[in-house]
Amino acid sequence: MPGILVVAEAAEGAVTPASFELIGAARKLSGEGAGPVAAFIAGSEAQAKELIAVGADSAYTSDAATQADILLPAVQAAVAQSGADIVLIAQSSLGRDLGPMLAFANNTGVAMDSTELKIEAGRLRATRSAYGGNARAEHTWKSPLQVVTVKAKSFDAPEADASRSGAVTAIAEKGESKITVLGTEKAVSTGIRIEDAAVVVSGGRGLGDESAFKALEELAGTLKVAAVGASRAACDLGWYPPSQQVGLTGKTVSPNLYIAIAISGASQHMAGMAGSKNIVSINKDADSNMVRVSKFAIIDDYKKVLPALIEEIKKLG
Amino acid sequence: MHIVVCVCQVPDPQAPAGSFYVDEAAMEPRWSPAAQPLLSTFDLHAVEAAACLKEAHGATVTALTVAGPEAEPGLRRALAAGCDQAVRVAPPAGAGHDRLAIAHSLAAAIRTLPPADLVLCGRIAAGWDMGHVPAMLAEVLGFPYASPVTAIEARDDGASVELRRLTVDGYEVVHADLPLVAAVSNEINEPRYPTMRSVLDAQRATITVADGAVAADATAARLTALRPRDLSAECELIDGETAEDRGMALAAVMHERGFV
Repeated sequence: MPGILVVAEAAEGAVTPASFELIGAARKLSGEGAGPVAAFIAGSEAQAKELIAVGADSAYTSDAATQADILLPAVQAAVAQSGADIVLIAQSSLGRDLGPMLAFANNTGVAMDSTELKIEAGRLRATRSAYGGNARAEHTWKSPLQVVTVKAKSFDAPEADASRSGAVTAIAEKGESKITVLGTEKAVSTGIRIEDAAVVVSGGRGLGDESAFKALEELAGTLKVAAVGASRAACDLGWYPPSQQVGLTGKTVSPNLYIAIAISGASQHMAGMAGSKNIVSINKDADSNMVRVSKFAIIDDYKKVLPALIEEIKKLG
Repeated sequence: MHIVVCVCQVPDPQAPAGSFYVDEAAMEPRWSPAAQPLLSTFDLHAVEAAACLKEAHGATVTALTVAGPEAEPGLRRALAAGCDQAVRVAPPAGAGHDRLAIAHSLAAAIRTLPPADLVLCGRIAAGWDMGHVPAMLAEVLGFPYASPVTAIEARDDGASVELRRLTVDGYEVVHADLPLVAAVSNEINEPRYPTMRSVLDAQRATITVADGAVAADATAARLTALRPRDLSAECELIDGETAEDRGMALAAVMHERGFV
């Protein structure tokens, strides 16, 4: 009996939102004929039950440390015990390592950072974005086991239903790590993290000068839960801190609203924000890539548009 | 110490998006001269990391790629930036986008070289953005693996390194015995500009072309389709008499849609 195994994760004692999204993805695939949904978590029985409440049919727990090489034998055991032929892993620090390792161990391939999943003729088809969203690559597998990592916010987390029940099995297998963690340090951040912001206001080289970011900050200030980002070009010019750079070599964001101001949309930038739900742009060039991917756009000089936009949002807010 | 840096070429990520298109029949990306292939962004940082270790501790650095002759400019760029020798392995026939085959081919090539103490890769191939080849390579070689790495310090014993690895909310410091595969992120360093002299030397250098690519395993994952961006949803242009009117109209639309 085929099925799906979701590799869930906990952070600071709580099941991560991405894990619940994976259950949402698994339920969708299950509805398309992929079989039952099992969840694996290096965590507690209570966390396993949370995963069952949102849609897993059964769950496996492990007390192994959440390091890919230590966890791999436990996940392998869960794959074997559940009989799953599809494994869904979050595109997280852990998933980036675990996905390829699990695929290698099973002589199969892995589609990383997938955003769409569907079952066709009983087999998985995973779609992911490449070249800054300029291409969409679809992957299938010939080998029995199909491993994917899933981009955050690609699927909705199902509502929890406490009446749902299922078996929880503890897995004893664990591996040994070849690397030793000596210590950890948290990054010092002030204000809202750009990755967490529901709205991101970003500026590019087209802004013309550094002072323009003041206006972007004012716009972000009028929008609750907004953060300011910048393209690599703007950061390289020293106009905005590299910590706020969105793109291939910067942060990856997928906010509900991404406001791109004077950004043309080279793949360097798009790679960091192509997953945004709604893109609005202000740009002088109607043919720019950013305008083409926007839901709404103003073709004009941002300097003339921004003050009115900010004032009106304040009024409407 | 022998350091192997695995590199690949990608279309210039800073090039205008219009210079890029998708050949759906061939399932290959294509690009115009405006987006000439460059050494992948993160690989440049891996080369720089190797050059820094070489300067600090002494090392031989080999740049390695699994690609056709079109990838040789990238190898010469790596030579100019501090690599001592360059090896190109022709890709296995039919590998297409089977990255497991690429990992096996890299590993096979590494085994033909003097024993590698450290294998460095960029954390992802800019453009394709999968980032799974380094981890698979570590598994094939049976080496420990760390990614995304933002600092590497060789220990005095010459047999181990201390690394900084990015986490969701900061970083962790890890210790690993050599040999090791590390995938580096751009935070690790600022790649140097090669001197004119080193560029000229690299132009004259001989690139070793090695055989021995490992055939693709037809049972692994494969690329089934490569499609262009879905542009079916038209962008709605917000119009108005003046720029101010347009700004106000956009505010109204954003409000109406519940964006703000």
